[in-house]
Amino acid sequence: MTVVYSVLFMAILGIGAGVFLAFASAKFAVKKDPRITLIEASLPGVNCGACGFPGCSAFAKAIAEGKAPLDGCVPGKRSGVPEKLKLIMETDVDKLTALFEETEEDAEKTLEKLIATSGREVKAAPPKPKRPTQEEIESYRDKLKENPRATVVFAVLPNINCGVCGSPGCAAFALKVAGKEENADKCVPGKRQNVPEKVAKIMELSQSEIQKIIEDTSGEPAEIKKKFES
Amino acid sequence: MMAESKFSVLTNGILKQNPIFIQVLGMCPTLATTTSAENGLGMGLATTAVLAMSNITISLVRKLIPDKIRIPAYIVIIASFVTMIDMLMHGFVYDLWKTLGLFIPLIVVNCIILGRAEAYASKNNVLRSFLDGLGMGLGFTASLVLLGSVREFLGNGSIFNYHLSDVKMFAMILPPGAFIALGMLAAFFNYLGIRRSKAKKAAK
Amino acid sequence: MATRLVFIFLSAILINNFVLSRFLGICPFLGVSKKIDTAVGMSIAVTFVMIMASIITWLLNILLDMLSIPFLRTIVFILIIATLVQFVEIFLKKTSPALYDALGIFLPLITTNCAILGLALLNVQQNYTLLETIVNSAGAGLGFALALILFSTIRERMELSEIPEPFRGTAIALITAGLLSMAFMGFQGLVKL
Repeated sequence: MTVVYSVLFMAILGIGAGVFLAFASAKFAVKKDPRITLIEASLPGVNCGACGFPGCSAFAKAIAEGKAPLDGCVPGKRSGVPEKLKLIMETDVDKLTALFEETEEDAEKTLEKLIATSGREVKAAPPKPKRPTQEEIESYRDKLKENPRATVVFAVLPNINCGVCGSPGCAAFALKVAGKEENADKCVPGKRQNVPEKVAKIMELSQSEIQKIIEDTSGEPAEIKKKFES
Repeated sequence: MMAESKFSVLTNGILKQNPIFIQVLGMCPTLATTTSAENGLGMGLATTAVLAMSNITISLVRKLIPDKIRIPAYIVIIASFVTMIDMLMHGFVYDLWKTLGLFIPLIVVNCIILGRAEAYASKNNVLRSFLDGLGMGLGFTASLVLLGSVREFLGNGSIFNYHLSDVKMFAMILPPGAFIALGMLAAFFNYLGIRRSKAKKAAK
Repeated sequence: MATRLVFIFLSAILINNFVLSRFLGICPFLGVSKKIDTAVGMSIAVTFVMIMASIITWLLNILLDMLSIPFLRTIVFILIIATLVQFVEIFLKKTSPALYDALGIFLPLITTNCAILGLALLNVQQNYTLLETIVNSAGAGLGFALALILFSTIRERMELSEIPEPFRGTAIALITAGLLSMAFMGFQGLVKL
């Protein structure tokens, strides 16, 4: 009898506790603001940091709290992101929640529906810039060694390999810039660090001056960068 | 990690990751049961037994327990072993059982046991988990015996009931003595550690 | 009857202070006492869990005795406490996210707080009635709060002192606790139960 009582008691207690907790966690669930999810879906998602926040999620949260400017997303500026954000922030939260639940919490679909029903013109987003893979980054870094001018250009780039410029990584971009196939303006996070000006200076240097810089600094990117800090 | 010898798993808990002085876990029984060396030894051995057995069991079933109810499951396993030890001590070492009193069932909430279950037993095989539990338990016991001896010697002039001196500072057996004795011991071990790291730096 | 309740209450707070005399709840005592705000938050959470847990475990204990399965006491009590702490976590996350964030890891750690299990077992061991249990638990919670908050004020002050290197951290905290405990010993004999 003791065994039966023990087993029954523990079973009932265990099930009771489980049910109670399940009920409590459902009743007291903390709903994540659907706006944050929608905003995140509108952003490019490269976590480049140009907005000044640590990652796209942080920027989304700041927008929802009204602590960031709508045009803060630099890569997103030319792909209609500020307009989308404006639309999200101006729409009534309950309406957004309802739309969100309709699409079963699919952020992309909700966005499309929202744009469609608002009747506003929002540019279709260009394909999201891809972050390069580790192999790509390394293979291009190796190629840098054969191209002194590209090495110097690479040194002044932010070196975060965000892929927004369209090239697979900063090393690849540096090679293209040195070969005059690309414009340094394309480096969006670099705009804050005066990369276009620095690259302009580098392009004006002669081959022997480039060689001297490399010799002085033994090719160390950090040292090269210092030379261009005015 | 796999190259870690079984011996080092065992000795890890005695010195390098001593649960009391390095990890600062399991403070409650440490302070409460070290009124004498013998009590400290008894408590330490009881905890070691629970630690070893629960580590083995949790390691055995680690792949069967769903992740969400991991902690409550561990707690139930540990509580079962503690109840067993409690009843065994009640039967076989009644005086010790009476002295340790409330702190035997409190072995359940000794952070060392749940901590090792979570950190080691849930990720390693049975033999290693057993050795880890044994090592931590021995380290715990050694520290308890040390503290118990200090308190007993200063407070009662004896160690393991073997009369040694006539100095009896009764306060050492009382709660303040526990805190202060442990604090001084902790400072002493810190001092040794600092000296050793200074010597290492000088040697570089 | 009322005097007995007052005695129990005073005893739990001052004479047999749960932290400084009974050595229960030392881990959070040393861990959460670095800042006064976290100390206060922790005290409130612990007191709440103490009172709720004591009531529920006291009631369940009657059932355990009725079915002659007293050996399940430890297991049942700790399960109740774990469930309650989990519930407090969920509740706090919704109602007071600030406090939830401030307490951080220490909230789930209340489960392994020996003070709560110790209190539950003591209530049963000393055969308190339900009312006495509630009073004892309230006293225990307040005593814990008193010790914790006092200690945190001292520790905040100590941050600004120059402490010899071997003593920094746990060692000086323990010695200070010892002195605090010595002070509380002065309450011995205040009331005779």
